[in-house]
Amino acid sequence: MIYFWIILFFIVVTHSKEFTACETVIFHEGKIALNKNEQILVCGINEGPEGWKTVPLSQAEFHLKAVLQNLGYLTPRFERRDGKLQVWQGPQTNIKTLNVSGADGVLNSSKKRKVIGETLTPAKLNEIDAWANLGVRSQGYACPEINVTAHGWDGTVLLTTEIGKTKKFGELTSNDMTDLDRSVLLRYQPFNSGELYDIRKTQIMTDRMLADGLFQSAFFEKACLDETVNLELKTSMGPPRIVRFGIGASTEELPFVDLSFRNTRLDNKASSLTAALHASPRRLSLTADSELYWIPKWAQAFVGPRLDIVRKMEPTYETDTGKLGIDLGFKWDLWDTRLVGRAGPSYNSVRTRRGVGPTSNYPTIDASLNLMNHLYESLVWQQYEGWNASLFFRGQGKGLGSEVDVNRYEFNYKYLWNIQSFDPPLFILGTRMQGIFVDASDLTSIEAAEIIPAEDRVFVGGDQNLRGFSRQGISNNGFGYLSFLYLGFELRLIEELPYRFQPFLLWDLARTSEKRYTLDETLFVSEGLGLRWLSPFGTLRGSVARGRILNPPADMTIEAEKWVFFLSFGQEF
Amino acid sequence: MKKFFKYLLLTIVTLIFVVVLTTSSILFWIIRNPQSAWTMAQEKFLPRDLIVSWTDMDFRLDHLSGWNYKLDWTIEGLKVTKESPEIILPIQHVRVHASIFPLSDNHKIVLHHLVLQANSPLTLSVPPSDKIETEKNPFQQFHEILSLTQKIHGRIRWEILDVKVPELKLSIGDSKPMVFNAGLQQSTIQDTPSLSYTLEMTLPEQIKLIANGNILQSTASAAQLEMNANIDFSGFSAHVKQKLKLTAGDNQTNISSEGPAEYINKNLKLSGRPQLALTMNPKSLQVKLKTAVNGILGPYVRLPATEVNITIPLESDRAWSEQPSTFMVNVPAQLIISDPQLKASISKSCECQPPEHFQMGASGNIWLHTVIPSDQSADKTFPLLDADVKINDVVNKLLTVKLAGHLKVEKQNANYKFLPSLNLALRVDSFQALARLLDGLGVMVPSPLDILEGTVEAKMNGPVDVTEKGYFFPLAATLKLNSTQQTVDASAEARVILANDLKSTSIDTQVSINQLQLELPPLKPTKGNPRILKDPRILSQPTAQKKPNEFKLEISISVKTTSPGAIRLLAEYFKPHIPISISFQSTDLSDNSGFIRLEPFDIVYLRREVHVSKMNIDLAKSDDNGLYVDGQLRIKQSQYTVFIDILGPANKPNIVFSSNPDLPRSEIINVLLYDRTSDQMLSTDVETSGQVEAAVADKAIGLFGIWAFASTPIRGFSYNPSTKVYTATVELADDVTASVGTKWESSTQVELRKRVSRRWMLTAAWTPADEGAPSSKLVLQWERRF
Repeated sequence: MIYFWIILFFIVVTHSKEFTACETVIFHEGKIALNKNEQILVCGINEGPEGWKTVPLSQAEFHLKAVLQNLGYLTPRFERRDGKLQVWQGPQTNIKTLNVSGADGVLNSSKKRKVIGETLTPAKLNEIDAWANLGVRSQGYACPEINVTAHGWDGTVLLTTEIGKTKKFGELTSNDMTDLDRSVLLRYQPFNSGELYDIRKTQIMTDRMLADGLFQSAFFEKACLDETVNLELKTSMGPPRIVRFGIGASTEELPFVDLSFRNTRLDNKASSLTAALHASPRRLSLTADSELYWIPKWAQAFVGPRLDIVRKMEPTYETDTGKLGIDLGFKWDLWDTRLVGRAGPSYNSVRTRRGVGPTSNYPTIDASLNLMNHLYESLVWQQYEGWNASLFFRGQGKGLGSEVDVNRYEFNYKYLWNIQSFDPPLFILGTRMQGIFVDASDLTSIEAAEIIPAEDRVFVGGDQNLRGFSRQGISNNGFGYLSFLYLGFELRLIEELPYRFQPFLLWDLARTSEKRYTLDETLFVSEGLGLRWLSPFGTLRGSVARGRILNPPADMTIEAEKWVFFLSFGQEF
Repeated sequence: MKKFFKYLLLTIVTLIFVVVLTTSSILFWIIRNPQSAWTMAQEKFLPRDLIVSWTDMDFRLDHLSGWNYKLDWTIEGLKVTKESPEIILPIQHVRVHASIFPLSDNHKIVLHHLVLQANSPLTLSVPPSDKIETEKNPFQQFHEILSLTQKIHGRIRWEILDVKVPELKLSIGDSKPMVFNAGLQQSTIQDTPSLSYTLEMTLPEQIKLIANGNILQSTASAAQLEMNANIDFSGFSAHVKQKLKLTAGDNQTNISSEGPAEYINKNLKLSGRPQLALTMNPKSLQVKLKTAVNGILGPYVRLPATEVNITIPLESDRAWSEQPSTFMVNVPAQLIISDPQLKASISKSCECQPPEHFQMGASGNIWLHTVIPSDQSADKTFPLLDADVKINDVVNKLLTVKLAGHLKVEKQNANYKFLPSLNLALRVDSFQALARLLDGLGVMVPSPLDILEGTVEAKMNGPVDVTEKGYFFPLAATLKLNSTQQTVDASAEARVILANDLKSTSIDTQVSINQLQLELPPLKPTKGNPRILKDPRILSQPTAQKKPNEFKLEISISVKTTSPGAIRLLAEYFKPHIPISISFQSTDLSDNSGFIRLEPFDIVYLRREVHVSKMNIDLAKSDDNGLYVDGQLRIKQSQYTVFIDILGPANKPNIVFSSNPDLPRSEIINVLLYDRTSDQMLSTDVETSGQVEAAVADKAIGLFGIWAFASTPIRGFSYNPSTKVYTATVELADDVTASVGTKWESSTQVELRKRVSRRWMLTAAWTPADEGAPSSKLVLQWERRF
């Protein structure tokens, strides 16, 4: 019986419409959470100074109106009864229309999501203001005047702008960079004088410089002229040498220890040297890398000597490798795209400790070219739009210190399409392709397994390609493949779930072959769904997918058609 | 001679015979051929634009006896039109049926039937009268009309009367037409004729009068007239329903009326039930009005029995006597505090009963011949009003009110000269009770002022100065309030200038603050950001266009502290307090001027101490975009002293950093935020510091932000130059941080680095794709830069 009364009491209490904010303020409709400071201003505080032990009801009403307005309650009702303030907070006012004036053809209000139907609050107006600012400043209008007002009675938001004429990038100057050559900036600069102004490119430039460790802080001060925008780069240059020691974890390595040294300014061309020691249950490595900008009159090209000594401990193999090489590289921006390329000879030493693989020393030619669209670069955290691509080549020639001719080609391409170009997007359709082709004369991967290092062969499956199969689960009995073509799709829903969870559907297709330049009939397919969360510490992604194998050969030993779960940190599509 | 007279008589008789014969013939012809006769008269004798027509006429004259005749004249479809002045009178049916007794001593005409029926609107334009009427006083004017009706009543006996005019538009001169709907009925033959009437009159400006009733005229005494009327008047924002009775005798006329009346204008709604008694005789006219008035000052004041007595002397053949009329107004008032708790609260607070009854009154003389002029000499000054106004003293522990005034008004030409004298003393003995009273009325007296106790005094004494500019009313007020920790000591002087033409007023007020010490609310930075300001961008209702007011009101105010730092704001973090000096002038005609200056003080919070060397707000340069500040902060760090000079609008000021010993700007910010130069800092901290510098350069950080960063250890900062949005994570206590900013993405990036200790940092690193396959890792990292 006691439980009955407890439950009844609970029901009565929880269904009571009255909410007592404090002794003198009673909500008959609605319930808002006042923080401690707001409680002082609305209710007073007994333990406080004499002047604030109580607050007059008219003042409480005044402050509550402001609090309620901040929450979108624009028509509250107040009454006094028995010396207490009775409050009916009323309905929240929703935004019904967004009218933009003065920016025809520049801002399209129909593409702005999360405004119509949303609660009219100061925070929402700030969001609209920021959207307009970014929209016009990224289309050449460097110094706009933007005002946002809202009509509480009919839910209209008015965005009035005076954007003036479009402007172009003008002169780029910088503050005192001590003895650093100013041409250093060219390798980070994604725009040229005379191009249409786009504020996102100034951010890209400072982000690149900070990521490279060249400066400790960097930002632009701009001066709007009639036709152009002059930029002055303000930088803070710390000591060039950085020693870091870290203990951490990643989805692939838990735990790991890092010790690194980096000198970001070996000379006045900002040549750099990085050395790092890494230790984890899966990988032990010592790497040294340098970018030496020694080539006269070509500030964006560098000579890059490098040394990698690595022990890898994968489920299917364990290898020790050493690589010493030197590259010729460049960093360039062209057609709104970042190009980073490097190529050069390497001397490799590989020793297979476990699994199938060679133990030998051989020279290779290594080359890579990375292309990244500026739009992708500016939204890299959000993964909303743009594309990036990369090409890799590694080759070793028989008679050039190697026992076999092996050429490995790899390309990657990813495109993110913001369907309907909404802001924020509604659906992002991601498409990615990956192709790896290893040419080891006429040898198959099984035949070449003894002479081709495991890292040159292809092991398929996992979060980075076929998500319906376990990590490197498609391994051809540990021999790997020589040909691989992958096509993946992902349709992601943005800002429709609370807490910024983004659900997505996935579909992966891949074909492989143990021969060069050949793709077998067998089709590996993954279908599933997942959830992405941009957490305070980075991107968390989880997916569940079912792998299927179409037209499998009779001797296929892969366990397919089961649900595979992945939870990754930091990995993106 | 005899023969001469014989011929003369014969000639006269012949002429009379000829005249009589001719007249009789003409009359006979007219009676037989009225239409032709009228056409001929119209062509030969009447104005050309006057057209009178009818569809049927029947005229019958029967001989009764002797000189007595009976007349029965009926006209159907009568229409009278005239172009100028415009007359259109379509009358459906007219019948006059009467007996004529020219030699009777009693009634000479007995009107058996008088019927006039008009079904269509009538239009009648009357040119303005240029006839100079002989001056008569109201009694004479009324009795002239009364005498006329008496004469008519003596000679004509009415039997059946039926007049119906559904719509008569009457225009006098160029004025807008008045519309009447009138009817007169008498359907029975009786000794005391009773004439029923209805009258509906619509005037311009939506003024409407509906009256109906009857008029009784005694046959016993022709001088007695009694009229009863039910009057319904609406216009001038008023609606009055009165039941009126008028009795008129030879030497006295009495009018009495009673009924509800109300006045509604915007938010003002007055109602009452006036009782009017008017007595008029050849020597004087007396008016007595008594009514309750509800609605003054909303539901809080009632006037239960306002009385007005006016006695107007009358002189023969003068509209208004040169002798003054006397008037007396008594207004007993009730002050009602409807909330019993509020009433009890006030009573308890001031140990008094709020005044519930007080008496207001006015008495004096008014010269109506000046108010309603006739032929006054142009340059002569005439007295118009000489009145005393008084509020009976209200004295209790809450307040003391003493008000007495004298107003003399003179008129010369069309100008009025006011000669007022005013003695006013108002003293509120319990400010706390006043604050509670005002709070009950919805007027905010905010904390901590509401708990102060003391007195408020306002006074004005003596005659009002009259100059060419107008009337000067000198007012003075003092405010002395105290509590244990707080003090308000201020005085104010005001000069109210009312222009001679009464069309404008200016109020010039000077406020002197001798001492003002108040406690600020005990807000804690760790307890959340109070959302106490309404966002002015969100409008709650359409902005109404203000109607231009013919009456101009100009207000100028000057506020100043009598000594530097006379205003003291007390709070936990400000040592010893915030001292403020003010010198502020504001007028309607010019922009604000003056300054608000924060004298030196310290902000002490956690382990930081910021010395505010100066903070001056220049009101002349401040506008709607914000306050214009000129200030300097000094922060003493371990090895350096940082100076922050702030100049410009408070929301985006120019900020200049300097230090002792001298450092570059970026290093000063490093020292300000982390108390270290970059060579001793983690690269992430330097990056944070750089973002602060970028935001400062972009004027994205306002005065408050700089103040906060100078006085609060910062743990993270992210700035997005595209949107000019910054997000800061500041350390509010040893284990408490707070984020300032709006963008979730930005705060995400801030949170990517968490300081664990001075050298250790928790970092979420993400390697973008141009360095190979993207990957992410969480690292607890130690760093040293050299």
